[in-house]
Amino acid sequence: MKTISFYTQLTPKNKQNLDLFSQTTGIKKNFLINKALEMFFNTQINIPREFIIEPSIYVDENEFERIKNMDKEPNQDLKKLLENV
Amino acid sequence: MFKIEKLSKNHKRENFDCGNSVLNEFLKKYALQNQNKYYVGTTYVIIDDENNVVAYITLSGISIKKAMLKEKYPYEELPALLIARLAVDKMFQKKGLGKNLLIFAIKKALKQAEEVGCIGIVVDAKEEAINFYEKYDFEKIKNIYPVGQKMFLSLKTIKKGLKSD
Repeated sequence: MKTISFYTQLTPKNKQNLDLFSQTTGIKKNFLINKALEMFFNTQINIPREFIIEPSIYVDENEFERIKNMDKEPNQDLKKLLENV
Repeated sequence: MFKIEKLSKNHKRENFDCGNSVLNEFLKKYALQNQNKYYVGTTYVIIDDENNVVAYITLSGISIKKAMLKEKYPYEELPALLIARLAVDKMFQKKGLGKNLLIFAIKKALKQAEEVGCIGIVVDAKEEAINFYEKYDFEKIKNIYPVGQKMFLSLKTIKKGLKSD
């Protein structure tokens, strides 16, 4: 992908979020900004933000392991519901 | 008499009102194009005898991703079924339609697990719906991104419930 560079300013909050997201996910900041702008313009044209269906969610390592290993007994309401499955 | 069908142009959506304007607008303006143009979610509707939509559910695949610091391969992913939207018209609430749609989603998750892999059901829960999902054993997830309360029901738990019948 061909890129160009230019100078801009961000609010401290946006910068902090950008740094945090980049550090947490390992995604490079220039890629994130490019993607964010792409998404912004696409959604402006097509779908407002609240109507987007997220294709993925990010969780930390502990939560990931908790979800992966979740293996509890179903409660009574779920058991009753599952009688109809 | 109600029945569940995949959303099409023939279904009457204009009078649907679940009390949440975002969910109403999603059904009327975006559900069909998400499904037929962008392929990012499929909507199933419960209709009455006159083809009016009285409830709907939008399903999609979702990846639960592990966010890690400074790893060469930063992600591990788990496939799941997402209940992206679920809503029932105000006139038909408290009649078990939401429960029927949840049963429908569980069947889809079992099928997805069989065919392409699925560890459970994720739901993007609106504040007013959290109690409904908690009743059926969904647990809150501490998601880093995106914002909004996600909840999760494990396929292992579902399978245990089915075996205990």
